Amino acid sequence: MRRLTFRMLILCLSLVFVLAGCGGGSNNGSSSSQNASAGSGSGGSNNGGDKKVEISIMTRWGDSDPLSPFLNEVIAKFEELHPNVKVINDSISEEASYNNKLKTAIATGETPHIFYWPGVAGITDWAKNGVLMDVTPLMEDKEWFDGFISGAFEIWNLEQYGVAGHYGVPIGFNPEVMYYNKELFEKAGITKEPETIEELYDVIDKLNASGVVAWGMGAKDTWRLGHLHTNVFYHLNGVNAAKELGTRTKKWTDADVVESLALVKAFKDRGAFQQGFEGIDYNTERSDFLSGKSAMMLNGAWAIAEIMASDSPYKDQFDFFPFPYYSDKPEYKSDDVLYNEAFFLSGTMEGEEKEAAIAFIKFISGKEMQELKLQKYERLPSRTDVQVSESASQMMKDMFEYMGTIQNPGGDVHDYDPNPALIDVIRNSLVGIMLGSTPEQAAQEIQKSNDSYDNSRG
Amino acid sequence: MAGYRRNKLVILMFLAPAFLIVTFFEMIPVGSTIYFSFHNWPGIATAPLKYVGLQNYANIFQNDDFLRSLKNVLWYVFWSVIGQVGLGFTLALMIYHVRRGTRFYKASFFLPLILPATSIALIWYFILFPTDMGVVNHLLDSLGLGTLKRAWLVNPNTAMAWIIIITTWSSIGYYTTIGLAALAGLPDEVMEAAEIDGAVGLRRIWSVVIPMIWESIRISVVLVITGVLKIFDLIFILTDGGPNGTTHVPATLMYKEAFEYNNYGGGSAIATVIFLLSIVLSVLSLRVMGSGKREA
Repeated sequence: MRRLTFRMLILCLSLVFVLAGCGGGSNNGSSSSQNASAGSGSGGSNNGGDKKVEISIMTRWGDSDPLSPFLNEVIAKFEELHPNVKVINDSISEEASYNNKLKTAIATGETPHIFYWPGVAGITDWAKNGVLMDVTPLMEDKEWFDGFISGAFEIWNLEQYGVAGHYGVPIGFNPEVMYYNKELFEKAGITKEPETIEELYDVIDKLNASGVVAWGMGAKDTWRLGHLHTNVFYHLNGVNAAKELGTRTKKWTDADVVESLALVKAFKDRGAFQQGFEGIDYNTERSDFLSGKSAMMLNGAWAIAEIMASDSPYKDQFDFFPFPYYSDKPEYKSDDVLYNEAFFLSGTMEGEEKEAAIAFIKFISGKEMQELKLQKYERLPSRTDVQVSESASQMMKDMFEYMGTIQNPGGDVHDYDPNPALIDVIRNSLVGIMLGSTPEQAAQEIQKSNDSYDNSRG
Repeated sequence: MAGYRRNKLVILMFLAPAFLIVTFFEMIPVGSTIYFSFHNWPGIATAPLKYVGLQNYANIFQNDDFLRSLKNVLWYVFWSVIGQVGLGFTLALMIYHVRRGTRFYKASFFLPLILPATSIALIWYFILFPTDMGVVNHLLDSLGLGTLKRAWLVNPNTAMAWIIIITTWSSIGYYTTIGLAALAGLPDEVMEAAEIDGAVGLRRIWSVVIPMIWESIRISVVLVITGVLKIFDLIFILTDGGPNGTTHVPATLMYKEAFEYNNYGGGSAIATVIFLLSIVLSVLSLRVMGSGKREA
């Protein structure tokens, strides 16, 4: 009996270790892959033999991502221009794998020379601890800097979070809009794109009456409701209110914030979404829209390339309109969602590696490559000094024009908050509201997460 | 030969590889996890570890999500023991007594075991699809039970139950196989003697077979407990702990805390609790089943 118990104890020990490994396994893999690449991070990179300087780049544009060929093309062109530099591409498209790999690299001091990360306030700890390079000195290169969308670098100015400097180089922008199917709109007797939320409610009613799903929603992927809330929040309270939440001058339990949560539920109550939308994923939502089962889809500008690459019979029938505003809040009419993408530079680089990494980030965010991204890959640039090609789809031309009209852009609401758990808490709370929680309960849950984070930080 | 057995150097040489593997790949990581659980660290190489004593443990035990995940995992363990061991061994007994098609049944029950968690999750995602396209909802509709249709995996009342059912479906073959192996080892003479003594049917199973395969059942229970406590992938893919945290277990929360929220101390504290829970439940189950050991 005692022997068996002892053996079982040993068994438990090994099984629990396996459990510890389920998170750590990917770390080890990432870490070793990281080591294999470039001696990675900011460590040694001079490749003895041919004296090439090696720099590593880690983005989400890997595997089957539509921008994977773009990145490969940029790297090839860069290496042609800089024969003494070898760029090692460590990109992974899958979100969880990417996050694990990057965080492991940072935890082990092997930060890639150039990398992508979503969010703004979430990088504060990295900036404080020297993981990131302050790119403010790069902004003095006027020829490169002046072509960016006005104020683009200010998004990653962390001064309000207690760290001086700008830390991100803008690499792309994605407005979020309502895509719709013109044919289904016409069949439902809708002749005008809605401009206000009240008009959007009418559109929903008419589409429901015509027998189609008004608005496809794949809330199983919780970011879908998160994006909807961000749109509602900005048009109700303004982009600045999200920044106030991040700097703790505003609370999630404030009445206007609670109202934003309630207004997300209002769309469900209006019958906007399909039956069982809480259990449907984004892929199903998108395929329903492309096949004409649903008439509207809220999505970023990235969807244009996906629509154009699809074999949807409605390809020529798709168009978009900006997310409507609340008629009693006209002051926030142009507080629109504009998701921003930035690349970051490792803060521990020196010498030739640093020079090569800076040259690469200027190259990929420069006019020529951003124009290539827009014209060949139908993805919006981070610059205004580029031209949309004549052969581009009409939707892309319209989107490029629309992006220039946004006056007060904002990323995700949680982008401005230093609490890394907030993204999950907000999105799960929104699902909770759809399943029966009250907006007040959800707001309390979210605020509790922030309070707990603030307390743990002292 | 005997000389080698007394040579300590030779003994050490044979023991060393296993000892080093266990030390470096099991004992040290477990020790490090416990050490980390007493510190705060944001996951940055240059940031120092900050000793916080038991604060991480205090935090997780004040966290509603963690307490709910503990409750979930205890139910998960309970129903998995009943489902996987209970049903698994029952199936083994049935297959053992079936004269024809034994291989087919064995293969059928074992098949889900060779599927990766992602495939299992995908299969069940479509079976439980929330609209009429889902097999379960479609079936209910066809039977005139449309009012029972649900978005099964996002309904807080049904999501955890389906996780348990799916886990049981995917793992039951393992315990059926253990059961069949145990039954195959039963000596013919004992079974024949039992039959001569009049022990047939359920009486024979209860009084002869179960006591003789009791050790296999005990080990299976421990394997289920430790296995369920470390389940992560299936929940991560099927529900990601949702809806609104109702299907979180400590393992999924541990991943979130450490790898998504940069709270490595909190994540390590949860890992340590899983480790301790695993030991406590395993020892407890062995004691309970040991004290009630049935004699043939």
